[in-house]
Amino acid sequence: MNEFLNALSVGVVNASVISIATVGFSLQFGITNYINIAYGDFLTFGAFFWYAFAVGLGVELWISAVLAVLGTGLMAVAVSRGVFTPILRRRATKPFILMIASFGMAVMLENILLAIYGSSFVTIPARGNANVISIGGFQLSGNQLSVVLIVVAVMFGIRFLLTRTKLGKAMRAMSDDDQLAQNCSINTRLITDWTWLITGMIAGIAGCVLALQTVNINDTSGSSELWLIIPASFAGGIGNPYGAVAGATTLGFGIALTDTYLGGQYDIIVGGLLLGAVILLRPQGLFASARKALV
Amino acid sequence: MSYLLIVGIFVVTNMIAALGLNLQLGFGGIVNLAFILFFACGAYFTAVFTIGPPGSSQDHLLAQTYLFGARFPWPLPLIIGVLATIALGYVVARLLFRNERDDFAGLAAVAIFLICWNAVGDWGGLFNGWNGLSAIPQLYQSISQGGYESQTEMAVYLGVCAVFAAGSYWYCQRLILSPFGRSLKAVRENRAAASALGINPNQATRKAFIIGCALAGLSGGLFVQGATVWSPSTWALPETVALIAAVILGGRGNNFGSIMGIVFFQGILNEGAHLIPGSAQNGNLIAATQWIVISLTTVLVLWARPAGIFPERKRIWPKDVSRGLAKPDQVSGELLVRTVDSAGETK
Repeated sequence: MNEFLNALSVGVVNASVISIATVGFSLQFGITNYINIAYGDFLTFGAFFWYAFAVGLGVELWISAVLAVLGTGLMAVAVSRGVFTPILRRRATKPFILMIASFGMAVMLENILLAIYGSSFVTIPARGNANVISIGGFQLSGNQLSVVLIVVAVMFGIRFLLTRTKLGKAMRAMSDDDQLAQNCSINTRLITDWTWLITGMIAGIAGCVLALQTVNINDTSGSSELWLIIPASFAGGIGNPYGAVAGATTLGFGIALTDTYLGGQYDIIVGGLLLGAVILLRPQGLFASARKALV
Repeated sequence: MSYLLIVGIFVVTNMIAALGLNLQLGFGGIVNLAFILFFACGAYFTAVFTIGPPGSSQDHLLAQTYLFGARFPWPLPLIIGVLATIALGYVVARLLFRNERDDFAGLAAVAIFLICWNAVGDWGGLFNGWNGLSAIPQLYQSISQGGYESQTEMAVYLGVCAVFAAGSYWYCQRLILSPFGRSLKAVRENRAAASALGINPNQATRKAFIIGCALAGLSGGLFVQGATVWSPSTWALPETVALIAAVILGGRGNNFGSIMGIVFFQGILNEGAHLIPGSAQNGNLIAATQWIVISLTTVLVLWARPAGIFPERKRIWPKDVSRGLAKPDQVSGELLVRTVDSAGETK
């Protein structure tokens, strides 16, 4: 039983790293209604921007983190405006065309990093807090606790954004029906830009957290997380940012349990099985929302 | 010269794969991001039945472990490879096509790919795990049991692959002009309308998927006997993007375009990357440049000219379709069916 609880606590912690990215991914799909496979590389860029500012330019560590988050958000807006919106606006674009375009962007972004930094690992000199804290039956290190707190903060931030701000209301309207939103004089192009900025910033935060957790990052760090992020967001209900954390936690539990009882690293296989099972059996995920994702 | 022959073999076998992908993506509207899995299936099964049993004299130095293992005469391993790929394609098709959104089906395909890729890598007994299979005998080696093939023999193998490529091209052209091809295009354009006309969209899509996968398996089987090695790193997820790039650049829904796309990417681009200054020192730079150009071209084509260089040819059918395509002077005032090309332009 102790082993089981231990596995669960490990699962929660593993999940919290991808939870942040899952929230961003789900939010972006909910508003724009297409899958962005380049999201994993936004994470990698977040981490590498932090590295570039902190180590390359020598800016103070936590200010670099803030700059990295902003940089990733701006990059996301640039990608959306430059690549996806023009393709989307063509009459004959089917949803899978955008997915292929985003896959192409993902490969391109990853290889830009490969060309600049090579495939070796880089480290960001962030000393974390390694003290172990016991909460209930769970053991968490200070680092892991701060990651969990960041997840909670991001969740509350998203909720505040979506329910209390005008921008959030407009985003929700666009997610329900963008034609109708346009008729109500919501500037959908501006809202799309804001969505990408916010989800890009979330990806930047997730990338920095990933860099803290895994210490060594290289060009494939983010894209290998992507195939945990996508199953997690589908499991929680694609397009539903609140379910995203539940989905990520489910995946984290699954991975932790297979690691404990089967041994070995089967996380991608578990992610693949979860994704396949959700899409084939229950595409709306755990928390179905009446969003256009289900059309 | 033998380097050129090897490149030629790679280009020609990838042409067959591109034809299969064009059938799925261009004509069928199926986004099969797991395409390279079927290429790998054909490659593995062909290799395993060419290389001999594990631990046999052919690979005593390498100690590879894999299932099956026999030394069948060519073309038997190739046939087995294609049959195995058809079986895998049937299973995957049964799982995938269930009236969902295209892109969700694509993600389900990726999920299947990741499971299979990691399973093949982690389970060493299946196909020798992450190290993969090596010392796969080439065509003449498997007959003569000698060392590496001479240039003449490789040129002959290139000719054999070219014959297969020509045959596949002929097959795909005939397929797309057949009634099945017409119903496939109808399903691609408007599932509901096609279904109302009595076509079973899932069945048409599944058939196109399996035929495309069979072509991928054939291509993989031919490729692996030219390459003599095959490991999971050669069929990672981005490899499908390389083939998709060729099909999209050349023209979705145009077999000739897909072939030209492969000639550009595999032939010209991959070799041209070696000419970049400073690339000899930095191996990563070659690979990174190749991938950046592949992905950039894909995005640019989708951005600027989604139909590709050679757009899908518009076909006009007369009232009596049994006579084949209409010649311009035979077309009467009424045309029964007009087709739309893959860029959505109606004529």
